[in-house]
Amino acid sequence: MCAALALFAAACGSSTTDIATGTTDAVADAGETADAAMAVDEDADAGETADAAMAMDDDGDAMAMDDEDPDAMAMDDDGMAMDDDAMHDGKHGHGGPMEVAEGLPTPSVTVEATADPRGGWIVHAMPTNHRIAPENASTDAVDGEGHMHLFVDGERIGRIYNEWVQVPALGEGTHEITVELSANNHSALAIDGEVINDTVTVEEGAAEGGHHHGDGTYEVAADAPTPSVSIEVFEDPKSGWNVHAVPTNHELNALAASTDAVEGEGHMHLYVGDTRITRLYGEWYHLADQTDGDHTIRVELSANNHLPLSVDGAIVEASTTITQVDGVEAMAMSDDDGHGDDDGGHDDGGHGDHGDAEMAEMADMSAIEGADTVISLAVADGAVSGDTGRVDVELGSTVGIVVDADITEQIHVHGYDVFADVNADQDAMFTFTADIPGLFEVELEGAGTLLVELAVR
Amino acid sequence: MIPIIAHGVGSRGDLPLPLWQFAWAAVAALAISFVALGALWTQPRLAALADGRPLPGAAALKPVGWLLGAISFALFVLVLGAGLFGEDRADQNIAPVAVYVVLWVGVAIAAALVGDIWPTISPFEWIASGIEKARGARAAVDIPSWASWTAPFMGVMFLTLELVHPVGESPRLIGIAATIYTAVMVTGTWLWGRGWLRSNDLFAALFALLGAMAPIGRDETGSLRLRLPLVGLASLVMTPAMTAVLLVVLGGTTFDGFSESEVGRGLFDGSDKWGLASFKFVGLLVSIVVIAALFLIATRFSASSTGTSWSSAIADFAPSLVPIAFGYTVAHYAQLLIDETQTFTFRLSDPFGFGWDLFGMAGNRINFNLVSVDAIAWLQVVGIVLGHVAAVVVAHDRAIERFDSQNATRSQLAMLFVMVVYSVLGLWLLLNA
Repeated sequence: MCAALALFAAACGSSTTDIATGTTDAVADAGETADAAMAVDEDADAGETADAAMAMDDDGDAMAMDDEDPDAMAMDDDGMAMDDDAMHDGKHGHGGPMEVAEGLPTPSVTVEATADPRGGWIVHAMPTNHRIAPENASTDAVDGEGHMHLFVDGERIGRIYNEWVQVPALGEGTHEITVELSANNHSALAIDGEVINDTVTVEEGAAEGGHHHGDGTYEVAADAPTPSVSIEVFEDPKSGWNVHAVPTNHELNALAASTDAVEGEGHMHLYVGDTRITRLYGEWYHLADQTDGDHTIRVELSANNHLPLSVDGAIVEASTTITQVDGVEAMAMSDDDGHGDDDGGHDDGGHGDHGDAEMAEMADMSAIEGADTVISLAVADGAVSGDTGRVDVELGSTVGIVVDADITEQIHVHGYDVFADVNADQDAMFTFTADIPGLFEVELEGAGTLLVELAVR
Repeated sequence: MIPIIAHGVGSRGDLPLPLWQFAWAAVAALAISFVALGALWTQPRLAALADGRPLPGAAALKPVGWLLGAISFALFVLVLGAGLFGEDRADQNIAPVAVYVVLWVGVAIAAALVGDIWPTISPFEWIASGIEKARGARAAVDIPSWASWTAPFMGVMFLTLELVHPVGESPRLIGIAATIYTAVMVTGTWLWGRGWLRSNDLFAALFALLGAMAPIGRDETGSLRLRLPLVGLASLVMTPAMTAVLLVVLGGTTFDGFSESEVGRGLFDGSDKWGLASFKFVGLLVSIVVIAALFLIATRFSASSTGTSWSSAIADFAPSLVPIAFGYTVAHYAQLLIDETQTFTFRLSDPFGFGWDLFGMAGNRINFNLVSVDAIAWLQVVGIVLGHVAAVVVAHDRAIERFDSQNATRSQLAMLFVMVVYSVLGLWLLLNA
């Protein structure tokens, strides 16, 4: 789970420019099989397989992470496009990988990762003999179809329905990005007991600090075909929501992300409320459970340079509202978009039920405790207490910061441009690697109140 | 939520100087001072060298100068426009970094190291040319004495905006301030001519002072001359307003360093923004007054020990403050300049913060490792110590030019004391404690 924190901690990872390609061998070794099996293991270890609620990439995108709750297998027919042919018997995803039936075409998967110019990775997962069926996710297994699961460094990030996925910056060092094939019921597919997956090893350079999005929009040329987008959101029978966003006159081009805008192509941005969840390079997305209540799910078309498309000044977008029941608890999380984010209860994804949310919080805590320097601060009635003043930090070490505040605010680590939200209900907890020498202020961005100074050397 | 970065421009502060580095530098400053008393030359030398010789290839620089002027005027319009009409966010708009870093620090350091380029690039010079054309030829006018103090007054205003105002880094505020400043310059030039502008534009006054220590200078005809560094200070004629500009800038830098130290942070702390700003304003004024008082008391001692007038002692010794001011600027702002000049170049791609990317650099990030923090620390120490040495040398030369050797030594003692105080204070501020 700490990896989830590491994800957002390394919000500013620079990236190497080479394309890393994984082995084409679709069959993993035994160790990976074990991991994969664990990942879909249900009840007892659900907390461990659960990833922390949210991670940040340097693009300001929150990437929701989830974990399926294998217990919640109740079928739900409202709005789910069910394929009659798909109604097979029996095969529930209990207890481990599922053998591909003999005589069927052998499924396989190949994964590639390309460095995003703005940090993070554009992951390309290419399944063969495996139809991606988001509409059937969390229903019974059907031969030849299902979805995929994404892992980073052995930790499960979530379901993927698209061949192209955005993975946030992972922090300096070597990381393994793994994609495995999954049946509709979330069992990993296996051949002779070995899970069908592929891993690509990526080498990420030193973090350079985040960046700010420019404001404004990309106005579509008057003579270009008018782009538009539609959105539908289906409740997943097991956990979370399946988002289906269909663009027209707008080609999704993952590899061109973070490059110059080109008329007629780009990607999409998905928002829950005001919080950006991810970039979309494909039409489907699995959104984790939200906090209880109504949420607006909005998709906007984006040019390659991440500016939203506009036609006659109006942003090309579509939205719909979901009502979450039995969702996750509100939890303050990092927000790297550089814009003031003043809503308190964050729609930060998360997963499962309250117990899992608490597990995630404990994971945050353990990541903080694992940091080389831990700074604990409290803000009450405008006064700052705790580890205030100037804290010496060794260059290259990790810093964990916990802030308990009685107000809704945004915490900003200058220079590193790490942002984190805090409110009265939820502490801000984050870690990052102190890899830029100098004296840096950490402050409440709205009030301009200095919390602590980091002397990194 | 207020979308403005709260503590001015710049995302990284200077690391505290290690104590041993501070100690060595302070001892060096002291030792050099005492050696200077006995061992330096006994005949004035700098004034003879101040003329220098014509700069080779000066004619070829003319079109370059015109080009620089045009670029600068375009930037002036751009920054004014960005300040007034761009996104009011210091982290997206080009105005704050252009004014506080590129102009205030960058041009100042360039003036001292190369030569005063302000007359070449000043947008107000272009405006003045326009005004002269519009008004036609006219007789010289008397400038009222209060109007001759515009530069130091504007210095206090500039520092108040930069260091005191709760949102001094707000592009909108900077745009409004720049508009008002331009209006004052235009009005003054209209009323009293270009001569007034050249000594009452804050930037013209400050950069001319710093340019006097540069290896390239101008003679009375405006031709470029090549000379040794510092020697130009020997022929610098100081008016009281020019001395005031120097003291204001020295006081402002001292205040900036102090308010960023841990002591200063503890002192200037509070949630009432305007109450805090009022308190800081008092702090800025106190810094300027303390720096000025030290200098004035020292010159008073000089004057009484040699039997000259106080005002002439002030004018005689004020040029020796120029290298100290330069040393302070380098020590306190070198890292800011290196970091944020990069920001400036990136912002050129999106000067208004509208999300443009004109030159494809809008998304670039500062390379914080361009110059190592160790190198910066040495630059800080060397800046202060060399500034101190240069000040002592200039003051010594001025003293023996004015007085016989016995009086010269006496006249120097108080000045030397003040310079040691300035330098040790400057170093102490680098401790950031």
